[in-house]
Amino acid sequence: MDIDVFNSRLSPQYRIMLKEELDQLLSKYNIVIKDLPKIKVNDPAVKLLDAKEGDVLEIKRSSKTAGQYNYYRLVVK
Amino acid sequence: MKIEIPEKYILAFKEKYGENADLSELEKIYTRSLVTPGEAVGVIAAQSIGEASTQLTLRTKHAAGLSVINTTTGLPRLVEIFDSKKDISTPFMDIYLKEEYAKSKQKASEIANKMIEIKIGDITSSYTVSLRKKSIEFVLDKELLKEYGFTTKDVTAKLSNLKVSTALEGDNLSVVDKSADSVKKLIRLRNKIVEINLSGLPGVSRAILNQDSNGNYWIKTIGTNLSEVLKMEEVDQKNTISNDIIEVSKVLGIEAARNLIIEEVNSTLQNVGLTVDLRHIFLIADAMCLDGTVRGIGRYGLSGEADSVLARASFEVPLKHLIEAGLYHESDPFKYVANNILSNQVIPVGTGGVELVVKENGKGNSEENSGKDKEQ
Repeated sequence: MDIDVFNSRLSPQYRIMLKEELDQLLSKYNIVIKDLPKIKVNDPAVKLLDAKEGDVLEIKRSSKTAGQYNYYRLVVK
Repeated sequence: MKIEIPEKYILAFKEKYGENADLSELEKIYTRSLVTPGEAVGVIAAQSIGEASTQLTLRTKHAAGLSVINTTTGLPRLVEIFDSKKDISTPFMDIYLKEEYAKSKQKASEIANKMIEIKIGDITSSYTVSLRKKSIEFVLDKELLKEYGFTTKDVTAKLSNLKVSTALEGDNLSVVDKSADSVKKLIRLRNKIVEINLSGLPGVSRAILNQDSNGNYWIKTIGTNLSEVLKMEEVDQKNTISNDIIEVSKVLGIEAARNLIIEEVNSTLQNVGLTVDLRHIFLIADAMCLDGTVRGIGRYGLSGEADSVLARASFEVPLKHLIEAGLYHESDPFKYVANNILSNQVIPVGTGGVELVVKENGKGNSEENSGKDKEQ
């Protein structure tokens, strides 16, 4: 039986971003793609999502102080 | 600058003060609660946690004679988390069970017993090494074997992977290694054999049954093996966690590790009656998990991997960093705080972080000119 990472209460929700959304994000914050926080390609969550190197994940975090907000991570080697 | 107020705050404000409430008041409150651009949030976070941690006890408390598991708390635990130590001193897991198992004490204790690791060393009472016969003779404890439900054949089967021949004589198990030519080698072989897993999860040395207020049983273990536990059918995957951050980052991913850091730091501080604003802990956890692996704060972590040579050198062991930088032809862009202080320049914090863009001849918009400025 494989471990379902997303089932854990510690794990947030992940989603692979579309190209247009990514462009929008980058221009909103005036940054380039490598300025984003990273996530390793062998991370269990990345493996389960089947994301490739260079993809950007949108992570829906819930926080006690800010409610729900999005965090972004670039998949790297 | 126009500040955008998130929809949810507007809704909450209207709910509290009525549909026609004055939104400018909300804007004032919201603007005041934001961090000003260029604020040195890292220093503030470090101070906020640093000040509180001076109140922590240095020593771990030992509760002798109690059956509760002794866990590292206070400052040692905090240091452990922030250094992202690989071998933490008291690893444990909180294992929750699926409903059908959690209600019954018998079922829960069966699962707990199944988890405890039993090694060959646990069921042998003594051993003798003979160099002449090139053998090690183990005396198996019959009563323990019976208690755990093993036969002597189970034990020999586990040894079949090793390149040794085994023989059983009553309770004695003799292991002969033809290639052994010294006592040292035999002792090494013996140490290897006693560590062989017979049953249970490798790494889990004790499992203790607990009951929560709803009457559900859950298991606390000493030693962790999260990846194996989560594969077990009886286990509730949602709530089961380990306190080993590095292990969680490998099994559940970096985001889960980040959440665990926050939880562990917060509970460590709260257990001794300290409250540190969660936002400081968020910032530190995010910084530790920035590059996809959990990095500690300190010489071998964040500070040791800073981009700037001078920032690294001013932290610890300056000579090593300066010589290395010289050898590898490193450059320092003077973009950070430490190197600008060293060279007596304005640090890029607060108002120092802003640079002036001049409009050429007072014409054109600033965006066009800022591009030209960069070229010059």
